[in-house]
Amino acid sequence: MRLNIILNLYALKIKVFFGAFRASKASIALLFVYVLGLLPSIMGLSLSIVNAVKQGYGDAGLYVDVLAAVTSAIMAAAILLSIRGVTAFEYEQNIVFTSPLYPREFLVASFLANLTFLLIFVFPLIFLYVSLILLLNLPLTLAALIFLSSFIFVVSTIFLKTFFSLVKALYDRVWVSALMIIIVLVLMLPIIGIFTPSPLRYNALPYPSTLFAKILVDVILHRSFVFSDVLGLLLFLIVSLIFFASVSDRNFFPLTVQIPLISPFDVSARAQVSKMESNIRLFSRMNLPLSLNLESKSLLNFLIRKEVIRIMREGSLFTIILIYAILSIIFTVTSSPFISGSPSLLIILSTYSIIISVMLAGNWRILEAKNLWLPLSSGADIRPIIRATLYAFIIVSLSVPLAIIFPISIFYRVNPMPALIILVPTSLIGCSINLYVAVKFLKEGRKGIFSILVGWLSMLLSLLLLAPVYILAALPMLISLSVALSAISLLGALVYSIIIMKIFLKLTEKSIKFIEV
Amino acid sequence: MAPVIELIDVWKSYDGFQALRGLNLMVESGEIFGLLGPNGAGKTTTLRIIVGLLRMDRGVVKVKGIDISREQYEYKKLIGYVPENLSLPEYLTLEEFLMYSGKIRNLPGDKIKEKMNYYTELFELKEKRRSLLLSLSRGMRQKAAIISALIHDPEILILDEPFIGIDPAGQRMLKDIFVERVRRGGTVFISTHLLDTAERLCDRVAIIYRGQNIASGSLESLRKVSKSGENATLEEVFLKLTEETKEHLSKEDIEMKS
Repeated sequence: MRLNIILNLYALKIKVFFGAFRASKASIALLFVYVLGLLPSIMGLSLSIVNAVKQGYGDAGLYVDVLAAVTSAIMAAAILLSIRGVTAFEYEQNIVFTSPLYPREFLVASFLANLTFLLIFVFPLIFLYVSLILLLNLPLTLAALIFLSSFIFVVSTIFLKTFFSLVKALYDRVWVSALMIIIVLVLMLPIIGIFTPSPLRYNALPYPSTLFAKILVDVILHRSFVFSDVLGLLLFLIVSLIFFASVSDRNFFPLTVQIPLISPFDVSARAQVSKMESNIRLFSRMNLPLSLNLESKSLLNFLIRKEVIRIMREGSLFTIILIYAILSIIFTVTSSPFISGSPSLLIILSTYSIIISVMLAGNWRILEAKNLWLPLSSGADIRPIIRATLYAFIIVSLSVPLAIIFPISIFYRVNPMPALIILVPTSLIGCSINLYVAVKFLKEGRKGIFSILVGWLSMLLSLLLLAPVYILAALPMLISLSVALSAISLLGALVYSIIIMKIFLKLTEKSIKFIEV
Repeated sequence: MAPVIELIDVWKSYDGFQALRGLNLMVESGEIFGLLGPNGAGKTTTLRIIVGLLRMDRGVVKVKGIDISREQYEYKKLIGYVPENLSLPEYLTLEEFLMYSGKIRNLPGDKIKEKMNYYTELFELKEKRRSLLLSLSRGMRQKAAIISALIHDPEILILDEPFIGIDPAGQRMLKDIFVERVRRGGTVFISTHLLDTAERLCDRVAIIYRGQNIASGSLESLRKVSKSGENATLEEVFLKLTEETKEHLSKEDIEMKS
């Protein structure tokens, strides 16, 4: 290995990554927003940890479980990202890989660059680290132990991710992907122990994430540590380094998968659209079995099915399920001790289903609106296309939350009706408004930051128009109404939603006639 | 012959750029008409205005005598259009896409299948019918878009750079299709940078420069206008005319500034 080559390559990677800062002052502003936006949360977190430690309450085992679940999720995400194989930017494929360079030199430079990028992203966590040491008055040796174990965990995870990416690239077989998925499942399975009284808990398993979590919790809560935990973590570092070294000299250059070069702080319009496209395509499931019914007699049915297929095959559905499931897990975990027959959790989940319509409309604007040239230039009646899009949105925005809410309601024996009363209007109103705003601001809405503003605008408008629904739905819970009055108020919520949906559908049909694509 | 497409004093600007400056153009029935011009001359803008994807700032566009700003939909049933920057629903298979193209035009299913069979066979895409558009090459996707434009048997074909990405055999077939359609009374309006192809294929061409029509007609008439030799190629005529206009406009700019 040649150090000067590695350092040159590292410098190039850093320059490319920070290129966005040189291009626009807005990128620097975005970095400040990121850091400043996270600081209050970090301060709040550190104060609550310090408070918990000083008051001496809390179950250390549960803390280990939760922290190990988070760090296991980081490892699992790293392994899942490796399923794509080794990724490279176009400039790397065309310029770097065609130069007389050894694979290991490239990998070491990438490792150093990744570590640097990570330092930028976890920068707010350094505040947490420093404030914890100062507020808890931790001795220097223990402070150093926290830092070193965090460093070892991060470095080992990067080595492991690189190893799996290389294995996937070099031996592109089903068993490789299967093995990686099994490891992810094994890593995440003990999360059950947090929700249920299951013996399968992170605390009882020798996972690297558990060892890391144990060191942190022991140092912060008890000002001590178990030596075998540190040794175990060191062993994890050695093993992942051996794994990395065993494949890092193989020529993977011809096997890399090209990814678009977009700095996370690039705020240009092109970058924003590409970022969203690549995020969505990351979850693309083109090979799903559902296909279009070529024999369909009804144009509307045909078009609805086409839209649902788009949502599935382009990966929007997978992204929606993933995000909504994560949200549901977070809400369920945080409110599980208080559920016991109360519908509040399900109502919260129903209310949050608004994000599904925002995501559906946002993805449609980015990925599908550009295909409107075909119906718009063909003289086709555009109304069935808009209707089909709306109905497909409604189908998805109802079925995803239902698939999550029903099992939770059965598990916790909670009546799902109040949640459904919120869910249906949220879907009808949310989808129709989001689609309308997407169409209305189609030209502007695809430009950079504006596209994010469009999403916020439509969510705000939806919530504003949903307010009467929330009031009508809450009435039977707040004051004792007769069954007949409750039914009338709920029916009122439904009728109101349908009216709003129809109004915005008409407005969308009108707006689409005047768009330029 | 009656004009099939007529543009009268059409102006269009967007994002602070004046794309068309009083463009006048006439495409007659039963001809292959080529729209030529350097980059940024306004070719794509012109075609997109005709097919209704852009709205002009002012002027009149008539398709088969129909003023498209008054009757915005019916005339499109006569048109088959292929854009330059192809964006296709890549999540659909080729046959799903063609069925979608036909269905939104209200064609019966059996008619769509018949046309689909014919054209996929002709363009050697039969084996790709169950493939996702995403997996097709640039040329194959271009062919898919062309089939989609032909599926309803339109009277007027409007194509923006139709030969890009298509192999020589495919290009030859496409030219044969154009000639055959014109022979049967149809009209083909193409925008292209391929001057050799335009010279051999088009009955008449128009050269536009900075949003204005600087010359139009058959090659012979353009040779006369440009005072090129009898054997001048379309490329020579094109370069001479655009160069002259460029100089003329530069002088005008200097005069206006002074």
